[in-house]
Amino acid sequence: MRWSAWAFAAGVALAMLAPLSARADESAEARLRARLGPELAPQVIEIVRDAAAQSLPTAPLVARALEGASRQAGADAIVAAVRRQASGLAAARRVLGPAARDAELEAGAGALLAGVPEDSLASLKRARPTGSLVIPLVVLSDFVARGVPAVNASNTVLSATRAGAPDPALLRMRERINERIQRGEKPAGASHAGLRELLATTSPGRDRGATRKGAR
Amino acid sequence: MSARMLRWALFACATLSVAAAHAGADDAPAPVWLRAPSARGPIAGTVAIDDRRLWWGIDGTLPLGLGPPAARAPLGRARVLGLGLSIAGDTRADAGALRYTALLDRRGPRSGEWLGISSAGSDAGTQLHLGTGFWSAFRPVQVEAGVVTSLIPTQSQEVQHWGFFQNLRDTLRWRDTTTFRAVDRTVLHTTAQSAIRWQHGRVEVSAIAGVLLRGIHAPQRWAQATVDVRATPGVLLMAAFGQRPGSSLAFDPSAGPRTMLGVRVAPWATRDTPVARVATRLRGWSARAQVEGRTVVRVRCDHASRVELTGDFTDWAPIPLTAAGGGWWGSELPIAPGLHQVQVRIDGGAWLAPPGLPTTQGDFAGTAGVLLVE
Repeated sequence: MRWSAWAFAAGVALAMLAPLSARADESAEARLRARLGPELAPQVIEIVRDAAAQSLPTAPLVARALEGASRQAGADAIVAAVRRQASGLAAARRVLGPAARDAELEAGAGALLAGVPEDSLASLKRARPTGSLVIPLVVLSDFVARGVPAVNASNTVLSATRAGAPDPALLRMRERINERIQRGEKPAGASHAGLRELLATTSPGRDRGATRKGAR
Repeated sequence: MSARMLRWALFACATLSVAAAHAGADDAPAPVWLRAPSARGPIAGTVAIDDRRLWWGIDGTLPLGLGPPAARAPLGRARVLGLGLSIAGDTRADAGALRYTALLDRRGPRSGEWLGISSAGSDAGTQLHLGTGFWSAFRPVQVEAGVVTSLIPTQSQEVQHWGFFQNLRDTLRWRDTTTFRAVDRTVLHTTAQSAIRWQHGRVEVSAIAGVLLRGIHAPQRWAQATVDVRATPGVLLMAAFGQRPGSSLAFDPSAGPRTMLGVRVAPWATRDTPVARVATRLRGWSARAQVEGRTVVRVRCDHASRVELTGDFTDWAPIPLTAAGGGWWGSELPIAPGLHQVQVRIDGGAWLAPPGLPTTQGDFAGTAGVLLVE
């Protein structure tokens, strides 16, 4: 009896959420049709629907297409960018697992598309199996965008995460490495020095505890 | 322009530079030519007129990345290598007198070096110039120095006096003779030059001076003052006062040998051109979540008359921000929880990542800031 009540409640919730989701999809498709024109919109909508069928977040795909339209990019460039984003999201899902949140998938796709190897994301997932990977992945993409070679960037973030550095410490490390790069240091050397600083000031026991705490 | 007026112009320029340095205003990007090849866009053209002729220059740029695109250092944050190619001429010179230049440029955010080779035709042959130099930027003054070694072909007339005895009717008579012979020579000129530049907003004032060493001749000192005004990101209005020798122009297709007025157009100026100037005006960023899914975003920037924001949460439509005093501009926007990309621009310039935010490389418009709303 109790289980059937739960099942009923879940069914009602699903029935209520489904139209909301469908309405959001319709809204996104309407925006795409309005901004992309009759020839381009169907191509992008098809990619978006494919992604939705794979349970991938579709908002980044819509945003990428609308960005292309705002920048007056060509139709081929927009479709290519949306496809690239979709493949990045799918790869991130494959590496980070089915339980990964949308923000993690988006950050993971950003890292993969920036040139970070899938192995690095998998290692990061193993280093922080239950906590959120959004900040480590954002920091990783930022390093690559600032010119740190992908391998060095991966090693830096991975080592910091393995050492139990919490998200605020990762963000502080990012700022320090960015300052070093802006002062003219080579990005690879700056990332190495930034990691050394972080490890020197990180107490492994305390920070591991903090990470576990954050993961709960 | 008289020498006295030129001295006054140089004195005024130096005074302004020192005053501005003490004021500690904006960061200073590198000098116009030495910012090349990364900063002017893929191609630029210059047309200028002086009291004798109309001259022109076209220069192209080619970034030399040593790794895959994703691994290349973004401009303005690390040292980058580039190749600059230029061609210049004037309305009175034929095709053989065009000046060709190739220049390797290595630059970082505050300093750089260059090494180049240039050739130009002349009536006497081909002039060859080898040059090297460096620049360094302090706020808001830039200094640069360089040396150009030139092989200049010249044609001189060699005069020989000689004589001989001629037997005329059993009488030896001395015949005095002079012969003239054209001799091709190559002489070595060395030009040492330095410049100090001061930039405020769209205006850049420079004082350039140097000395030309020409073998046995006395050293020739020269100086020129220039004023550049950036009308739009792609259009630079130029004026120069004073004279400088040809060898000092070998690596600068936008400079003139005499007092001149000109315009420089870079129609496809990349986002990097205004980035160096505008990024320094962005001082701060904050985003604070409010109730009901709304977020207050604020940008701090100096000397702005219009600040706009765009991002995926605006469907990448520009949203004007409102001046809030103290250099802050802001707006309250509906931003859903999650990861977002955001850019700002000042006075219609390039879209930039807000300062302090993590960044990501976009597909369409360079670097964007990554905003996490929880």
